[in-house]
Amino acid sequence: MNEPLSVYSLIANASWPVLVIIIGLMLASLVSWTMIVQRWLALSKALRDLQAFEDFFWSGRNLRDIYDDISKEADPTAIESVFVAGFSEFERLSEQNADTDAIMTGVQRATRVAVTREEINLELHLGFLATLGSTAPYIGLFGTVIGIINSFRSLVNLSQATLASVAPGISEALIATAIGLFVAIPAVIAFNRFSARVEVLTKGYDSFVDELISILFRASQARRA
Amino acid sequence: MKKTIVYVRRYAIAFVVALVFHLTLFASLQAAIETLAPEPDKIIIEPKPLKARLIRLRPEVTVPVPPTAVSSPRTSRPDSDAEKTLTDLEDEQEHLERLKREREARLAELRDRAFKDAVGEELTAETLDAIEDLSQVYVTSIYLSVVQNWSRPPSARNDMSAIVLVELFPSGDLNTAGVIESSGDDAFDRSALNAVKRAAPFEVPDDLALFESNFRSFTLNFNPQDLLR
Repeated sequence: MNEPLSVYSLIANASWPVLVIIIGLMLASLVSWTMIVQRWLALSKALRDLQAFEDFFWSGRNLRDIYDDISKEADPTAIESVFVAGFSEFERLSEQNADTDAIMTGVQRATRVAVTREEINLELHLGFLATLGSTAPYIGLFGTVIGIINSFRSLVNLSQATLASVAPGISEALIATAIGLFVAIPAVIAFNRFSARVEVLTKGYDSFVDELISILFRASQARRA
Repeated sequence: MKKTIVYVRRYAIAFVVALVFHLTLFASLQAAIETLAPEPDKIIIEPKPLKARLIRLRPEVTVPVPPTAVSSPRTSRPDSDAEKTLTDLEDEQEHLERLKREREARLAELRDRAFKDAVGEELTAETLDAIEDLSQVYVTSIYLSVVQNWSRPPSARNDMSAIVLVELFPSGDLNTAGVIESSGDDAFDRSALNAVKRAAPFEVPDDLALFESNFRSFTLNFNPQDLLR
């Protein structure tokens, strides 16, 4: 045991159950970081889109012009698809000469469906991060316990147990807990951060929907009068 | 197919970023551990566990063993019973104590008689025999108490032997103990000294002449003969 301590040797010398757990955790870490980066990019983009769309929406243009512009786009953003869902429902019901209440109920239903769909998209993978954040420490701990059991079992044949005969095994085993924590901490932080951001976005969508409905209500009243 | 492309486009950047992050982290961790690693001159010697229980003591008082009950094979050849257990040792001590009391009574009687015969006259052969018997009892008792208190270090080997010079007070308390011939292994020498210190106070004869001749100072040879390696 005179060789210098290295991460690689610690992992490579571990017994196979510990090794399986360590490799599993490392893969989980890779997947979790992929999700974190992907979610981070997607949520930042969603926030930017929301602000850009609100600027565009309140620029004083006619609602129909805005609608025509947006429906030409091949890949509408989240908030744009909410707007399109609400406005197309309004158009459709207006053409059928429905009364104001029926139009408003229809628009509300259409926008709610659109917002829910976008929320599902935003919350994609967040459940995975939450699960990983809460279970990775336990998986790591499990690996450590197995490693410690093994290292103590190897002491059975020795009459004098010294620190030097137990320490390498325990040091190997503890690597599993370290990796478990290493996986869990970023996952938990990311989950909390992204949940808060999804909340902000959902509030933004909801308030936009309320404003849209009040505008359409006024338009509908004006048309009737 | 188109869906796959969408997924690849969505996750490719994220995956590459995650992979690069992990590789950097692993490399820097490795570098950190290497710089923080202890100096290579620190040599860790793995202790070799031993199963052994016996020492052989060679006291200076090498009294020819008279054919009495004391010189039963057990006491006179201590290195033969390697598997001697603690209870055996305790039984033996009880036995020895009984013998010792008997012998002391006998010695006192003899001394009284000799004193009455003539002060300063040479001791009779009978008396000398009794004295030798008695000192053998004490030697064995000292031997046993030291054996019981000796815990050998893992570094002990069969061919090691340390000679310890022990000096006692007439009360049986330890005056000094020192290694006069080292085994070459510090831990072994220390364990021998500790055994002597823990075994003290010793049982010594009340007879001052006997004490002065044999127990004021004597050497003990610590030698684990029965070790596995």
